[in-house]
Amino acid sequence: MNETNRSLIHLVDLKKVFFTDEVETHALSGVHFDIAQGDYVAIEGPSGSGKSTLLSILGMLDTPSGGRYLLNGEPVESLDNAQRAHIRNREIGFIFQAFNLIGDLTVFENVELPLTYRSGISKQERKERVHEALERVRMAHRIRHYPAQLSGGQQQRVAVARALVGKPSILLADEPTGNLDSKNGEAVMGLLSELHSGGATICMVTHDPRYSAYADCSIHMFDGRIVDEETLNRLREEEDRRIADHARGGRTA
Amino acid sequence: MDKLLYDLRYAVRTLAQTPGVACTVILTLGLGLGLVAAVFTIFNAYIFRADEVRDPHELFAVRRQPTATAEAEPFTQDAYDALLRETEIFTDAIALGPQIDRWIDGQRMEGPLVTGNFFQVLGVSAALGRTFTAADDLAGNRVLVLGQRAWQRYFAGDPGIIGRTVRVNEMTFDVLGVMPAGFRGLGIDPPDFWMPLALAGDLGRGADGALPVDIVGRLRPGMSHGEALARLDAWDLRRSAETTGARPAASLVIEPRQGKVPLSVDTMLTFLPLFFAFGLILLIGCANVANLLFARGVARQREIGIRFAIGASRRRIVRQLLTESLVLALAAAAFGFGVSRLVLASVVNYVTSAMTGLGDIRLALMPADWRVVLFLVAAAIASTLCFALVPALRATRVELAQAMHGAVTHDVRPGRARNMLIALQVTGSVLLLICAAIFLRSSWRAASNDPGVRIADTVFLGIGNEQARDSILDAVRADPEVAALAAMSPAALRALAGTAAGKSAATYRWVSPEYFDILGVAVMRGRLFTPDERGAPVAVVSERMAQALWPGRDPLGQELRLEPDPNEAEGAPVAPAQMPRFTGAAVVIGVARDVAGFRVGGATLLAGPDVYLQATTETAGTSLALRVRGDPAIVVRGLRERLATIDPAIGEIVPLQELARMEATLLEIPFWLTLALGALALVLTLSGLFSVLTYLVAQRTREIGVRIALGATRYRISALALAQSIRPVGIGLLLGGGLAAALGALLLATPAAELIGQTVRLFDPLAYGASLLLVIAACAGASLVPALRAGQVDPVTALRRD
Ligand SMILES: Nc1ncnc2c1ncn2[C@@H]1O[C@H](COP(=O)(O)OP(=O)(O)O)[C@@H](O)[C@H]1O
Ligand SMILES: [Mg+2]
Repeated sequence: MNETNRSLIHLVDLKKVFFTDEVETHALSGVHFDIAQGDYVAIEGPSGSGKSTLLSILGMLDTPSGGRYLLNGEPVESLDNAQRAHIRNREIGFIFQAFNLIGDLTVFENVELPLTYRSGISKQERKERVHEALERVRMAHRIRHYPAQLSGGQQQRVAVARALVGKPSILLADEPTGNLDSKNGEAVMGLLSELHSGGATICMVTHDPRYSAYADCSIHMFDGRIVDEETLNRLREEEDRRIADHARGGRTA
Repeated sequence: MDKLLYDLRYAVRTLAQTPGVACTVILTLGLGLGLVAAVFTIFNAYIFRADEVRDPHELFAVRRQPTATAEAEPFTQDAYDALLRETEIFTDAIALGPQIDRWIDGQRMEGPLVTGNFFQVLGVSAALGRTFTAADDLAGNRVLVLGQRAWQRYFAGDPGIIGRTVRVNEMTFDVLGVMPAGFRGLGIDPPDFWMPLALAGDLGRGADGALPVDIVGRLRPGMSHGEALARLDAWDLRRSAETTGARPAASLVIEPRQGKVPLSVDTMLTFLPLFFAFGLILLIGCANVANLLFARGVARQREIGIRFAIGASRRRIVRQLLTESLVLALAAAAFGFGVSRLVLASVVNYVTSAMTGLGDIRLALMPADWRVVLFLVAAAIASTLCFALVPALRATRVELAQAMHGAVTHDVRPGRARNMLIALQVTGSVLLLICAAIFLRSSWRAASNDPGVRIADTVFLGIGNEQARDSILDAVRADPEVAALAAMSPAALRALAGTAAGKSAATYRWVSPEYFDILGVAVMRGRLFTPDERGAPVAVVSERMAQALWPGRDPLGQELRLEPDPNEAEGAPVAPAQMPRFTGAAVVIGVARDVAGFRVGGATLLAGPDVYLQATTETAGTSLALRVRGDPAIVVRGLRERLATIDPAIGEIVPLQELARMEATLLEIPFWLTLALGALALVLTLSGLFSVLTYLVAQRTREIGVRIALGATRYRISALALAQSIRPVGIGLLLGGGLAAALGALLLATPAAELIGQTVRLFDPLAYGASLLLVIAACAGASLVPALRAGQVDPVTALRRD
């Protein structure tokens, strides 16, 4: 874990505080962890524990309120908007729970999108890379379709292709199976495993232990912190009890 | 019926839930409807609305048809008497004498002389006091009845006016009564007063029964049009044989005379562009509303889906949506009625008070009647179909399963309808603004036109009555505000100018020697007339004429022959009959600078002439050109009052400056009109563009978040949003510019092309360029805010949203 220079992502005491209506929410309170090239990391934890926030920061959609974030050994806190957009485009591939394909673009155009934000790629090369990505997710036969004409599983596969097409350093997936039935969910997980065996680095958020088993290792989050599995279970039980107490107290009162 | 009530109730409730949308629609649509209704009110007042008299459909005018070569010959007062006596086609008839203008208590007013039975036959009574009786006319009483407008405007609506005496030029008259507001005296615009026909002699109009009059009568009940005409023809033949011994020059016609303009091609040609221009605003408003409804339709897809699911037919839902829109449109129509009154009142006020350069314009606020209301309701229904039908059909094209899941169907090309609407709006704005710019440029050109004569302190004075010429001359000469005066023929006369080389058409003008100095026309060679040369055959020619007749030779001393031009009749301004014509030879003694003159409503004043001949201030038919001291407008006012006491029929007294500005002033009217409409159109377009883009950005926040996650920079996102408007705006610019050019080309293909071409510069590149640039800049401005907002979308929030 101290091989800072070799890790792809290196987080030190990462903090994120949201201010809404004078309420401070500590979504992340001191997160330390590393992801190395070729890792497949699953992040588990209850809803509201800060998983998505962590992923947004990793994907440079959001900035941390404190701590350090080194990507490929480079600090990223001080980058300006344009530089962050550039890194998102080159180094990060997002896969969302809600697929987030753009409705009025075809499958081809959706997958091509990240490449259009890059300069110096010829049309021909774009076309080849889109095809290659779609082949990998086995959706090449649907390139002229619109997202509304595809099933959820197919849409998510296209979304994976879109994340892949720019050859990013890491794929960030936030509950990629959340909107899918178990059959399609398994298929997408299988696809991610396949990509991982092909060398891709993946960081995936899930709250389903079945799916975290696909990953090399799991990180457990609770209340904005990384905890080990036992602690997580203990904290969970405590919280369940507290809620139950509260409910009973509320009824007797 | 039940369903309709339900629909209505539901519509009102739905609208009450979104008051912002409802208000926007009512305001936007009301504005458009109001503007169109304003035009219709004018149209209605002149074309549909009969005068407020008893049974206007019984009133018919008798008229002689014009012949191929001559104007229709008017009836005389004697003919009126004979017709009443000798035919029985009318139960009664009136004679409407000539319109006269007089200074009444220091105000210039205009009105006709009418027979004493005028008001009885028309069946109108006075709003205040009384109208004429036959006795008033017979006795030649010095009495008058005032029109409502004149009473309000010149006597501040003072009821004490009844029975008071007023000064009418040098005479005094009793005011008998004031007519009600709706009464126009069978005319289009209400006169200021009516006076008995018997006063024609006193008023300097001749009393020998030869006075020209219009005859209007009430057709006898049961008398058919054809029978009346047959009897009239028989009478006419008989009378002609008795009076002149010849057959009448042309046959008689009887036609309805209800005090309105007949609906003809000409009137339609006048009103069509107005309806078109004002209708554009309505159309643009409709486009805005349609856009709004498109957006609402998307927002209501869930509701619509549920309605489908519980078994409503598509027809039923469309009808519900249309009912909502109709409720809005009717509310807008009510608001539009108010707008139309306000617009008309301000236009009337503007034209009568601000356009002083055009004289006292007799324009009254046009009343609104049931036709205007009907029109508004019809227009509201038409616009409902215009703005609501497509959105309603579109909104109900929902895929049921998806709607129930709350998923929004994305059309394959969702923006196309919206883009079309924006393009249409931009087209309208561009068209109107190009028109405005063309009028402005033309007005500027007219204003900056150098007429080639001195105008700042020059005043024209027409002598209407030759008998009063000497006393007018004396009064003007004695006037301390008049520094000098010259005589001139009021219009240039046409002749054939002959030299040794041949003949060519030429114009000539009689002028006294002072003319050149007063009008600042420089003599380039030779000399001017001297007073002792009066009557001598000498002429001054213009440089152009000298060049044309004697190219390369010395024009001085040349002989010039002038003979009557056989084509004179077809020419433009016909000089008064008493104007002496010159036939014979004259020796050229001088060469004067060319005078460009200036244009007023299609005619060119003071242009040329090619030849000047000497006249004196005593020459009959000449007008006077005065050099005045001080502000010509003030001097003119004083002169008018003083001279009116000498000659009640004193002709026009106008500062030359006013005449020279006239064309520019006239062009300012369409300029302000199209500018106001263009600005309105642009504002509506911009608000439409703004809200569509804002809506698109809001609707696509998630998409924007995705794009940012995929590495789009904020700049790219803003550019993408901005690009949404480039296409429709670009199409609108092209269409608008093209349409303007096409209209211009169309105008140039009409017979009026020459006149139009001289008055306005139809293809002025600056006008086109400036308007297009303005629209581009405005659209860019309106798009910038939503575009920048798109760039500021927070991707985390956008993606978190469900
Ligand atoms: N934009 C935001 N503003 C305020 N609070 C936020 C925002 N985003 C997340 N939070 C809060 O931060 C905490 C962590 O949220 P999140 O990372 O979405 O959790 P998870 O993905 O693990 O369910 C939650 O309490 C959430 O309410
Ligand atoms: Mg989450």
